[in-house]
Amino acid sequence: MSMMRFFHKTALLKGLAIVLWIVISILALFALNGAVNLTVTIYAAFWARGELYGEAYRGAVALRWAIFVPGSVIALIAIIANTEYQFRRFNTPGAWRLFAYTLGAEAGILLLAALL
Amino acid sequence: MAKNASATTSAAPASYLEAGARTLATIVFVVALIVYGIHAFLALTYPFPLDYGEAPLVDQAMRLAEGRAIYRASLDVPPYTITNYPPLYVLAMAPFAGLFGPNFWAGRLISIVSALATAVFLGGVVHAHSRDRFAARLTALLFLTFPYVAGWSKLARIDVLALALSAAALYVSARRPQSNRALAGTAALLLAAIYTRQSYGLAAPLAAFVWVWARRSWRAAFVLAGMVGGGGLVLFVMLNLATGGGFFFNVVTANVNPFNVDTVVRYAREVRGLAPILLAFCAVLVFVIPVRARGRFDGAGGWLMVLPYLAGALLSAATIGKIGSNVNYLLELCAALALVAGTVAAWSGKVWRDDAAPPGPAWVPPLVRSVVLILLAVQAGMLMRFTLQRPVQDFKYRAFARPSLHELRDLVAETAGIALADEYMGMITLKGESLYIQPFEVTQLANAGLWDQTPLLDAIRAETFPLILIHHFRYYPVYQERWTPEMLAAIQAHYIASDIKADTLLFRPHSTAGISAPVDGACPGAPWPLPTAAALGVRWYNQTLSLMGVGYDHSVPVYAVADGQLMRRAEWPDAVAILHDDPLTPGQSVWAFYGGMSSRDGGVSYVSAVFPPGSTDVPVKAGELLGYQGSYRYAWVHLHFAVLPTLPDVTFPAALVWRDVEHDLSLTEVLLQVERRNPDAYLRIAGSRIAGVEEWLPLHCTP
Repeated sequence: MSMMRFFHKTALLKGLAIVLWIVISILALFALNGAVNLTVTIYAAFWARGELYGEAYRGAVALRWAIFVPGSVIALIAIIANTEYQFRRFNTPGAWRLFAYTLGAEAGILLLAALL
Repeated sequence: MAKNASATTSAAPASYLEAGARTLATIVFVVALIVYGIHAFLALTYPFPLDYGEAPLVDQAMRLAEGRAIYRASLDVPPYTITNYPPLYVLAMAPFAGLFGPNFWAGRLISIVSALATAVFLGGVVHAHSRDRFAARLTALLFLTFPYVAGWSKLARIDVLALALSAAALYVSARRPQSNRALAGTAALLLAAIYTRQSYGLAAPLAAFVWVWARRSWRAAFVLAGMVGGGGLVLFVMLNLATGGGFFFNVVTANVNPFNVDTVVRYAREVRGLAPILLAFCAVLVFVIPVRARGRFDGAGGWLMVLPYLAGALLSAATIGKIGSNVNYLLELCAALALVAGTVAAWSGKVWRDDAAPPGPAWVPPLVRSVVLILLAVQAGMLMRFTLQRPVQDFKYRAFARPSLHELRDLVAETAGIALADEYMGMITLKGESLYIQPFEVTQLANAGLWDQTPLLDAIRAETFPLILIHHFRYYPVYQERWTPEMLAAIQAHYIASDIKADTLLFRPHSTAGISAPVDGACPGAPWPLPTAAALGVRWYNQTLSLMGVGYDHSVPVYAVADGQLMRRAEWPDAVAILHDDPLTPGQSVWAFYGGMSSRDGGVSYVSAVFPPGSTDVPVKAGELLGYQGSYRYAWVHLHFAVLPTLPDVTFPAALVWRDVEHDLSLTEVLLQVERRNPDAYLRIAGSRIAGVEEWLPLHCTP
């Protein structure tokens, strides 16, 4: 393999990694919102009554905050940790697999938020 | 070697895709497990009956704990109760009933543990066939995701224990198909399943039979059939002899109910809409896997067990058409579909590898597997949505009725004598008393000519029972399947619906309810006289109380109940509204609405010509003729009568009687401002006390 081809391949993979990183970072925000919606949906399904403004509504608001605050911290940690990992182990099977796991988890949350 | 390395490289992106798909599926199924756990926990801690069928089983467990018989050969004398099922589940409940007294949690706990065990055994079956742990876990979790499983496994009902035993039998058979001890174990577990619920004698035994034949020998298969069939027959004869024929009468005769094909079609459509992906997987199992296996069934992941089980479960599910059946008839189908999904998921990871077909590109198996896992995750999401929409909402509806149910329980507990009930006969069980009647079961027997209801009818007519509870579901008159027309007629004639709690009408005997007939057109002690005659009865309908007279349109007069100011909107062909002084709150005013006074299509008005459309502030006197009963938007002549508070600006809240919903204020806005008032306090009609239930009752006055 010539140096030029190696350079092209590395550049392509770096580009792919950057695109994937951007995608998972943006999806993390959507997934955070999806996780909050998912939790509130399940809560409402089990406990909410039909009233517009009442105990269940206030419970849902409190639950949103309870999920949103730690959730945003977890999302930040995931984005930063992913960045660190990709820098240190670029183009290793572990690095690509981490992208796959992260995307899978985010897609799972978004899928549930959309379906429920 | 170089070729292998190249194949590995080309497969790498697909394997990353598979890793992502596995994570996605794991997230979805973990959430499904959490939903199941919440549902199960809430049901376990709910103290009241969740289903008609719970109380009879608790009742049977109490009888067994006290050493009394549960399979009586005759229903000539009370109690008129039936033990529809073989005894295993009730035997499991009996120690709990003996130790802790009557309760529902023990039965529900058995069901929930059985559901979890079923999930584990189904996963075990897939693992035994494929050695694929992930597919096995998916199978287990998918089973718990089905709304029918989530809804039914929280009940103190026999079905899930039977399913767990049959799944255990399949697991033992799949795990050690060559072992004689496993064969005996399989037979014992199948027998136990059948002696928990008799309908479990089809799907699992068929699957085990075919599997043993294919994997071992036809001789072993027939030995298995002999052990199950022979053992079952011996047990049946013994139980029948011991109960003097009672076992056959209860378990067989009393289960022969009429069949409704429409019900089968309805559920078939529901399952098709609910699980389209799983049904597509069934097609893969039937058409694709056997073709690729090319006769080498070793690599086909238990195809020969799963397919007959699916066929048997489908046949079993078709019996849901029996009147009185419920989604419990679909539980085996859920288990079968979970097995199909697990089998296809396991097979998809081995495409090209284990099949007899020629190998293909290395990236195909992980790609196919990823697609299968993503589809399964989507399917699980659809199932979960249905769970939240249907069984969870049904449960929530009951959970929110808790205060009323506490009152109902106290009322039943305070009642001296025998109470009759249907949906909430568990209140009698919770009191520690044995049931006197299971109305649905004996009604089916009476309809089939197998039971003479005359002694019970005589007892109802003699007002023997101080309290009768008849439950009304929101969308379907189930009570008509639970009580014969003769029983309902006797209750209507000799009892009065005095109250409603948790959608259940409380009937008291005439002799004790203190009811009376109207005198001179008014109920004794009522602030207002009746606005019209109601010889045909009263019914709560379309937000108003319908008073139904005998006669044709324009023949039964309607009068003002008190002095007041009348108004009639231009668009009302049939109605007037009068602002009266509120006799219950001096100094305030209240609206009375008089509707229905026109022909059915509203073309001919029967409102007095003195009050033309558009009238406002017309003074009227008590007893003044307003018009005549009509059949406006209704089948019979009637008067729609409602008592309504004024809006803050003293105007008429038309939206409360479904007039002008689109004009003025929306109904929701009106409801936020005022509430419709119960006419009972003004007219003292017993029927008006059951506001909210569309039930037709004779006109009686409350004491």
